[in-house]
Amino acid sequence: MSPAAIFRDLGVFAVQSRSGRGTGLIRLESPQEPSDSELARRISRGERWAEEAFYRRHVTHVVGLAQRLLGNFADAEDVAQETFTTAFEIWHQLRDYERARSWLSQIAVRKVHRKFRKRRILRLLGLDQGLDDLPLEALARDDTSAEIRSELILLDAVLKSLSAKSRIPWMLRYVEGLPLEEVAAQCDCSLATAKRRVASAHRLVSRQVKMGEVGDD
Amino acid sequence: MTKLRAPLTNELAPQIDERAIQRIWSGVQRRRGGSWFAERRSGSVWLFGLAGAVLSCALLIAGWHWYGASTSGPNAASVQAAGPLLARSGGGLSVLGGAPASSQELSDGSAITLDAGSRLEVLENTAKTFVSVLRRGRGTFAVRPGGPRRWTIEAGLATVEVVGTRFSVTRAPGSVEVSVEHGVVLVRSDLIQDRVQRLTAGQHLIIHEPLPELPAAASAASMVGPSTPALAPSAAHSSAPPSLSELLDQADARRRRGDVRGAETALRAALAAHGSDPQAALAAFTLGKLLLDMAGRPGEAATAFARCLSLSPPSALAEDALYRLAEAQARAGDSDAAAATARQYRARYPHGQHERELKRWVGED
Repeated sequence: MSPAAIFRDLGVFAVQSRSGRGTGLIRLESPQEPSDSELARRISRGERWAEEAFYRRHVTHVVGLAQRLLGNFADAEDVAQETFTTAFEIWHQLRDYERARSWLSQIAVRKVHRKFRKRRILRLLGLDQGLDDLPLEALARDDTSAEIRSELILLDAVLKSLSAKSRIPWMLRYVEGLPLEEVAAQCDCSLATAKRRVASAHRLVSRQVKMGEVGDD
Repeated sequence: MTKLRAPLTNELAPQIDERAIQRIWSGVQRRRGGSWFAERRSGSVWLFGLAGAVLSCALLIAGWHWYGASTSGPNAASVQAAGPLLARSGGGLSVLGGAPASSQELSDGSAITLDAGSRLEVLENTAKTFVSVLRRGRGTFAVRPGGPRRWTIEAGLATVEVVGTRFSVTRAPGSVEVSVEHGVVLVRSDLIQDRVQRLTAGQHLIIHEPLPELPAAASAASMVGPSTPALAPSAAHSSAPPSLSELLDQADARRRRGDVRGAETALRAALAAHGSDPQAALAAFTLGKLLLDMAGRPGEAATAFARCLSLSPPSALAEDALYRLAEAQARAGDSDAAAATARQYRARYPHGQHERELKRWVGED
């Protein structure tokens, strides 16, 4: 069955099919797009079109997360690619279809951890340039004020000095705004460890940058 | 200091376009199509894992031996990776260029080409860094991607950091131009928006020195490229002496554009010409904020905040100015003055809104 026909079955109107080089992607522009759980169910049944639709829906989130955590454009693309590859390979492990996005983020964070470990080894071997081309400041939205940008530059400098073990939990908490329980889940550690790592990183960050608490206006 | 509001993701936007989306998807498909063993994972994952580990160890050991062997030969490129960059001919690098145009191939495969009359001096040359200053003229740099060194080219008004690329830097009196042919460079300068600009293939950035007098055509950094709009030029020249509010507007526009020096000049001119105006306190406060937050000059910022306080600012501004004065003094290393200012702040504002931050600056946290 063609993807367009499947979308029609679902009450979804696939308005445009892109066919660039390689495989084309389906662009969904209907307000009635299938839910994540519907897509997840169909991926479980082996329907490849659903993988494409799921990928298209979440790729920006995964790339954005990886860019913010890693600060490097090429590494973030690698992580996104590995994340989706792994996710589709171990799709049978996804128990709660409603939490597909969170599960995907968890895989991405693991890949980011792995990337940091690889960098450390390369650095030990003297093979890493250590030049991150995508600090938070470079990711600032166009309408971000110069004051905020200058604070982001300071923050980038502090984050660079933190180890991945402290940096990632802190970023998940203060950059991504995740609750501590979710930070612990994404970092594969206990809640107490996540709290300790976030707090210790926050002490260092607060010395240089004035930072509000999550949800603090 | 502006307070960053968590979660910061609200201030950030991922850098991804349709091409990247397609590229990543192609990669996912390639990996899945190529990983034939993925289909058999469940049954033989441990076997493959073990085989993979053994293979990895063998490759690591072989790679290590190869690396060691290759660095032991006198002409191996990786010898150069462990030491300073040399000319391909084997000579050292200190000053390049001169009257005729010249081209220098380097030991790591990179190359520097200088136009006639250009001069490039090497400031630091180690296994990890290559820092040079372009004193004059135009240099074209082809930096080998993935090399171990971080390249930095100083050019007066701007610093260019290289990620692995081909680009040129032209230094003329009063301006610097950076053009990128391949790859990515980072240009840092007080005269460009947010003090840092990422240039990719096909983009170029021209930075002009700010004009000394006001109202001026002002320093302007204009960027031209396939996907980046040119920055707007500064305010037009006016024959009448500018009013205080015009100068404040001008400073604001320059500050937003990242032109810190231009904004500072406008604010100082405002204070010099309109020192008795009721709004002069605001100009002094803005100058202090600019010097502290954007220029990193806390000593001068403290002077500006003190000036603001001497100009009878409105009460809301006075509280902020007093707090920022303590912050600037603390950041300038004058802890005694910061403590005295903090005491003054608490006496005037017993329930002041900056009490918590003040404790941090005077070391009571």
